[in-house]
Amino acid sequence: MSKWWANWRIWGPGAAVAAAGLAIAGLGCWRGLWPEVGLGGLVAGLGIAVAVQCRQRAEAADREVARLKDEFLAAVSHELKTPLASIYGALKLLTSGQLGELSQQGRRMATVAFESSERLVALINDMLDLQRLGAGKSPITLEACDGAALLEEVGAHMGPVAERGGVALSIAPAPAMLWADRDRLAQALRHLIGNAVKFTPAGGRVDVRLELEGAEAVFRVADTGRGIPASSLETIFDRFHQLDGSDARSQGGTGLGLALCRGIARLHGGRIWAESAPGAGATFYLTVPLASGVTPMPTGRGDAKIDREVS
Amino acid sequence: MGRTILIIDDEDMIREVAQLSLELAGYAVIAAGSGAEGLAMAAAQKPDGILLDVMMPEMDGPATFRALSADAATRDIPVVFLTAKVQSDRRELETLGVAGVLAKPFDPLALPAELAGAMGWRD
Repeated sequence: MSKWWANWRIWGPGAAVAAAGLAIAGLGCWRGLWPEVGLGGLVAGLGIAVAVQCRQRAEAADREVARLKDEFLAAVSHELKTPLASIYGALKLLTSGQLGELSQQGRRMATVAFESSERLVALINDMLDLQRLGAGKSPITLEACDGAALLEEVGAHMGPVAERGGVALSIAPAPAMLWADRDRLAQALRHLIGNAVKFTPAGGRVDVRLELEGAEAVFRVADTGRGIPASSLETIFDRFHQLDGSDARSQGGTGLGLALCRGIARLHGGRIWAESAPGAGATFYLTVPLASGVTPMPTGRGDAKIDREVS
Repeated sequence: MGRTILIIDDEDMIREVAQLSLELAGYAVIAAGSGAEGLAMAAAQKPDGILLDVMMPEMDGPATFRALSADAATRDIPVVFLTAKVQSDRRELETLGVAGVLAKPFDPLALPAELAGAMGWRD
């Protein structure tokens, strides 16, 4: 939410006039000059009215700008996705060899083009998701969900990814009934595990655990990669933050994954943070509430929909 | 196999990629460039399944699906949506009563199996 002093440049002059009016009135009061008191009061009232009016208009304008920005981003993303869908599909067919064999160089070039289109697709998807989270337009459905089953499912999905990277992935679920949006939480966990695998050299390992702490479930994703400098432990959750300029290219990330994870954690009323000793790997934590810690909705589990907005 | 699939999408290029992908898997494919054209084709040719785009000018995917469901001649043809919309909107589409919702961009090598899975075809 905006601070009370937001837009002070706009309502400031009105407030200054009001303050001057009050000063005149005060002075008049002190000296016993009643006309000055009346004049001062009038000026103060006028100043306040102007300031309030200006501030309301500025806030309305801000909201309008935010709305236009969201609409614009959604429209652009969608317009980008449509031609990209044909490019992606056509290149996939071309590289599959089903349409006849290409020369070795031809196949190589088609693969370069396909992999680049794959990254564009990931980037646009993340941008769209993040924009919807930020705009509060992404209703999430919180309901009781089996944490162990969820983690098993995510682990099965990420197993082949870890294998390709030569990284040992171990999943240690604990029985836990979470109060969560299953799809969204799975998306965040896939991002976290994918990240851990990406930044862990072949031969390393990624350990994923689910533990209970009080009324919370804590997902813990620990890797044996190069770690994160202390100065970056907070900023990695910002959009388009990469540890160094070469990361985006060499690691194939979109720079939006962790920002998305943070948005998802907040929608659950949970937290996300990272701990690391450089050179000794990094550990990411994501918490969500347990179903037992949440008062059930009077209408029953099926209707227990909660829509929240992230600021 | 021998099944016929009707693709309804206003984007020529996407239609072409989807058509080739399904033909490579052995399906016969007919294609329409708008909801209205698709309705006429579905009623006349009785395809075994319909792959329907969501965002189209004039008659969009949900409107086309409602018209297909309202017509006795096309009511029983299973429909799968193909959409570039984000995941949260896809869930909303699933509640309309279609056989499935697939995401754009789609993997043309996986599309035939995903479509058959959504339609409940097992051959």
